[in-house]
Amino acid sequence: MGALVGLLTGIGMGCTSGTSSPFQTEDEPQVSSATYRATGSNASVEATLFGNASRPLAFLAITVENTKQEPIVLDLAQVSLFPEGGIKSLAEATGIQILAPGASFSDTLPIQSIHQARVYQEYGWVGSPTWRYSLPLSFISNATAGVWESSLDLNTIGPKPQVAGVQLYQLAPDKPWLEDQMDHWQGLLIQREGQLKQELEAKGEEVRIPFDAESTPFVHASLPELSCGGINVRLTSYQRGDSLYVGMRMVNHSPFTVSLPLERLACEWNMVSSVPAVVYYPKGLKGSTTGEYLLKKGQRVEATLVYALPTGCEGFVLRLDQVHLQEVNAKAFHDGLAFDRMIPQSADELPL
Amino acid sequence: MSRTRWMIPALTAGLLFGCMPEEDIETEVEPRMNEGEIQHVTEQWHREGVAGANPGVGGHIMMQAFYWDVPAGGTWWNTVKGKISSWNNAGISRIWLPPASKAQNGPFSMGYDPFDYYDFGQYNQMGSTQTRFGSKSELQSLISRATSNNMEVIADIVINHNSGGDLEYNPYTGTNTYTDYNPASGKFFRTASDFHPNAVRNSDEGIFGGFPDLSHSQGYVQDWLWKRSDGVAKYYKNSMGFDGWRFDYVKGFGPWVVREWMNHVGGYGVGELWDGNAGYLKWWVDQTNRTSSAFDFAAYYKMDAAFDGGNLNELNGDMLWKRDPYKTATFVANHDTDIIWNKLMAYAYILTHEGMPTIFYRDYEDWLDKNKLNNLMWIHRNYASGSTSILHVDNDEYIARRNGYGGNPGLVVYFNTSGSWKERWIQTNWSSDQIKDYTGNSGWEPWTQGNRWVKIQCPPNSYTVWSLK
Repeated sequence: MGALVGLLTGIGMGCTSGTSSPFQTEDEPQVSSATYRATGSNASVEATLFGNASRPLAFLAITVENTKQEPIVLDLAQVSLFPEGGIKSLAEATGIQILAPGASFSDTLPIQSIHQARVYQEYGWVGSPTWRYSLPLSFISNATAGVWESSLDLNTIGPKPQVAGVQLYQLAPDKPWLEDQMDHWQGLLIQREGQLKQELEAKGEEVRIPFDAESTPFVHASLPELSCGGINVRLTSYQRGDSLYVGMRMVNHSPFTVSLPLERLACEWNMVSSVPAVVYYPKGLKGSTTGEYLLKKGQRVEATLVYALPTGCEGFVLRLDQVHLQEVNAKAFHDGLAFDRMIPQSADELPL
Repeated sequence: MSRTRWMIPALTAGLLFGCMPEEDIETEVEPRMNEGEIQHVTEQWHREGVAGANPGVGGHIMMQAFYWDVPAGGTWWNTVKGKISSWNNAGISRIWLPPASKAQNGPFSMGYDPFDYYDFGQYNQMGSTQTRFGSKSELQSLISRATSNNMEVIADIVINHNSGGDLEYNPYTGTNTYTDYNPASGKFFRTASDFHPNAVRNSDEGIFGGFPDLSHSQGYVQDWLWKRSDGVAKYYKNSMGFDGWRFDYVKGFGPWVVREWMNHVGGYGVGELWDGNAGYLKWWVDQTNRTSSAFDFAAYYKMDAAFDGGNLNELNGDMLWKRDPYKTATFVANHDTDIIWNKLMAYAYILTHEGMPTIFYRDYEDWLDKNKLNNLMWIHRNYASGSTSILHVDNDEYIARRNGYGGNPGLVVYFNTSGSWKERWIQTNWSSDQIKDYTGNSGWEPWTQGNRWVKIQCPPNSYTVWSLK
């Protein structure tokens, strides 16, 4: 939630000052929101939002104290944040906590906030550029008063967040690119069909080819995805400062083993070419020591590639033609794929 | 289904009806077939599913009860369990769970890299005891809750490939391969001969890439997947309580594998054949001997072109539901692909048309207006019956009629992607009846004429669904 919390540095609204977070995992500075408090007739709540400027994850530290003489119930599965103008994001927590009179509960819950569905769907941008959040207190209830129908505004007032400088890009394959890709893919299928027939006949095996190499391959592009003969790629891209972030998720449903050189995948602009400075993999997925990620049939991979890119670029080309198909020893895509600077058509499209 | 199942209508005189006054309609158009009408000839919608399920006249609605990267930490089964009751009330009658058994990536895995098909979170292997989603008892509790709510539970079956085996010498390749599987459950040990290549086959319909690609031609593999009483299929059905199957990546092996599986254990089945070619999808369904449905990727891409691309004529294109509606699962997004932005339109389409609609968890729980989806599911349950007649299509208008069945009146759905209100005369199956728009997007409550014609309307960038008041 890069946007999120990068920027929760402002102070105001009667809050206490921010504190540093125990969740620092990268070199980038960890920042936090201020701490906010709400006091009701049955409980008091204290909440702080922590995050890292480059990660789509924040942490909500909450403390709830029972201030009355009867138990209160906390339904942690209902703890959620509402970004201003966005959709709710649930904290990654479940369970029921029952607090006896005078007891308190404290925990720090991971939470991924999505500001606007379309921006998230097309660009993978999850944070709140307006850095204003509402924390409903309806996860707190007791038998007498019922659900606490209030909310805690985790607003900050301060300098305009740096996210305002974000530039979104969108993949822009034109019709000739798609038509050429159809032809390219059909050639690969015909080549593979010939190979298979030869191999299987030589072994005396029944020839059962799962695809019709003569029919038109299925190639479709629609933001932010490209589907080509079973290689399905989701590509999202934005630039912050001089760093270009390219989110890639590939699902291999093709009849080939795909060799994806994630750590060497070139990005070109203005006759300049570079490889990723950093590749972030999801938790639990290790990068390749060789720079080649082999994607078996049926498998998926996802990563965020970070390039150095001067500000003000009108676009760039991602060299998808470096993606290689093992069985036919050929490139999967006939050419690189262009990305254009996104120009919002309406304010609703771009809340940054 | 071959093209002969479609009756391409005789085209009649121009598009005058939409602007004709009522008296003209009554006298002039009665004998005519509506301009551009395509009569979709199908059997009537049938109810399928377990006894006690209550899918409504429109048939089942399935919830895809996960998305990619649901919260890790073993909480997901309980999260889903907590929603069963509300989903049931909304009309969901099937839930599709992610691959439930232990995978190579242990507590981080979404399950698509299967290692031990019998470890649902009760064995400490691959870095954890619980799966990403929770424990075996939590999964069983979820299934029990769903079953008691008359909902079917669909297991995600990944049998193309395995992951996480140990390295061993492979006599078929002459190299070392990761094909030595010693699951803690003690069931379905695998070695090199259970993968391609082996003494039986060099490869299956997917192409061997030097990785653990299960060889379904091996008798041992067949035994453990679907033949043995404690094989994967029967264990999942009889011991775990799953009612059906969503087959992952069926492009990777022959359709006969699914056919065999279904013949041995039955239940509802649907295959993920990721291809926008409706003919290919229908070919695959037929090759399973129609024991399994397929997800309608053709409809998915057509809806994208229609609702996002600004050309509703795309909805006249070829889709699996038009070829074989009983063996079609329609969807708007899933854990792997999400390209349709105008999603409410797309949901209105799949929930009023044939095929079994699938609701994506995030769309229902997080992204879209739940009340509007509930309204569409209510319409599906109550009026989405019978065959389909497409009454009118142009760039920004689409009108179709479900013809009803067994006394159910069916419906008429009207899409308008233009920026202004639209009105159009259409022919219904209702004579001298008052109708209304059940979405509430139009306040009209017109009467159909004796010849069944009526004028309906649709707001800009919206939809209306009409049936008897």
